[in-house]
Amino acid sequence: MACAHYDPSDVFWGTLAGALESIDAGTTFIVAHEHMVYSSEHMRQGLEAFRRSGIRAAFCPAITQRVKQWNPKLEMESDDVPAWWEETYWALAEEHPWEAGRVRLGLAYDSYPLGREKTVEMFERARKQKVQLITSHSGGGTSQLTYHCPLLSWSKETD
Amino acid sequence: MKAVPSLQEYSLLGPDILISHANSTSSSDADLLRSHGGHISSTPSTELQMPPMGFPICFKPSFAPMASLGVDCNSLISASLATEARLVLQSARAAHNQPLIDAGKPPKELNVKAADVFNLATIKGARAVGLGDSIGSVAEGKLADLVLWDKLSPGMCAAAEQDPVAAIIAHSSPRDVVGVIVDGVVRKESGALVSVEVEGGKRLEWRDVAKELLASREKIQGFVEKMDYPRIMRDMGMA
Repeated sequence: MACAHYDPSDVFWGTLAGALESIDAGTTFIVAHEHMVYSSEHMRQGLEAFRRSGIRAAFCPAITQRVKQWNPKLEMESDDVPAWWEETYWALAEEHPWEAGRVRLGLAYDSYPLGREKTVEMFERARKQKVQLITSHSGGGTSQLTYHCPLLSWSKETD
Repeated sequence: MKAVPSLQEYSLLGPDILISHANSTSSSDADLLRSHGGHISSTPSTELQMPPMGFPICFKPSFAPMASLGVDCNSLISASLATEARLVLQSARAAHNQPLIDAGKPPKELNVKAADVFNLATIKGARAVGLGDSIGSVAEGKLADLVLWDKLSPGMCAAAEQDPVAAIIAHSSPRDVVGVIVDGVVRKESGALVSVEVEGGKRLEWRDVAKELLASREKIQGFVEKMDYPRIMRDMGMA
């Protein structure tokens, strides 16, 4: 939820700085599980930073649960995969790869609670667009979403 | 809902799947993932610190063939893979040794070696992202993604002569990385990052990026300081 405080330029500078820190330390490839996807422009600025950085990357936007309001009580947005997310992501899928192949599109997917139909639809379409990889978290014995998106653990069915 | 069982149920497992962490994944789920050509990434710093994860699983027999090493968040720890490598190597040795020490049967050999973790950070990382044929090792025909260490630095001197791989894993710091080439383009040379081009053709040195990062941080910190986190935790049902 920290990403609620970031505007697209914060995503750009933070991502660029992180990529440069990585190069400086001797890293040549990053799988970017992109949580900071709060809007179409957030997604695009994350990608732009990787393109500019010079590092090799699989840029993998995630479907992030967003804050609707902080006060007087915390409320999260209820939509599952926002229309703007799909519009932007599938447009990027048509464009990729970038920088002569140095930056490729992937998919970060932790939204298994959305169920079979939506999950299969996302995976099949991503694979048809030849995304480099599909990455998911898997933490401990309980839902892997519990520590990343605690809201999801009580708003949706989990095991 | 766990990733591997869901992927199996929906018949979506495949060689393009990369699971982060995978701690507490059962052996049968590991076998399932491996049989479909999938991979996992261990990120020691966050796993060692944050429940429910725990000790990285990258050396366990069911996982080792498909494992790789990663940096989870450079917001938490150094972005250096050598740091993660050192952490996972020593913690795997301790996890193995401690029960034996307690039982009065201290082991006579190390269970994992520097070369094992070096491979996790290089060729196995490449395979985990489907690029085992084009990056992850220095070989003719592969892409020019190269890292150069100074073998005469205070940290690397003598160690690099004895065992370059062990020197990188056990002795190196980012200061010893004097050159980095990605896709045939020099991105770090003589120990310093080269400038990057941003919108409008402007070139920025690292210090220019640092200034922007600090301004961004200050702005975000301003929001953070106004938050009533105990109340937010209660709203989330976590307090």
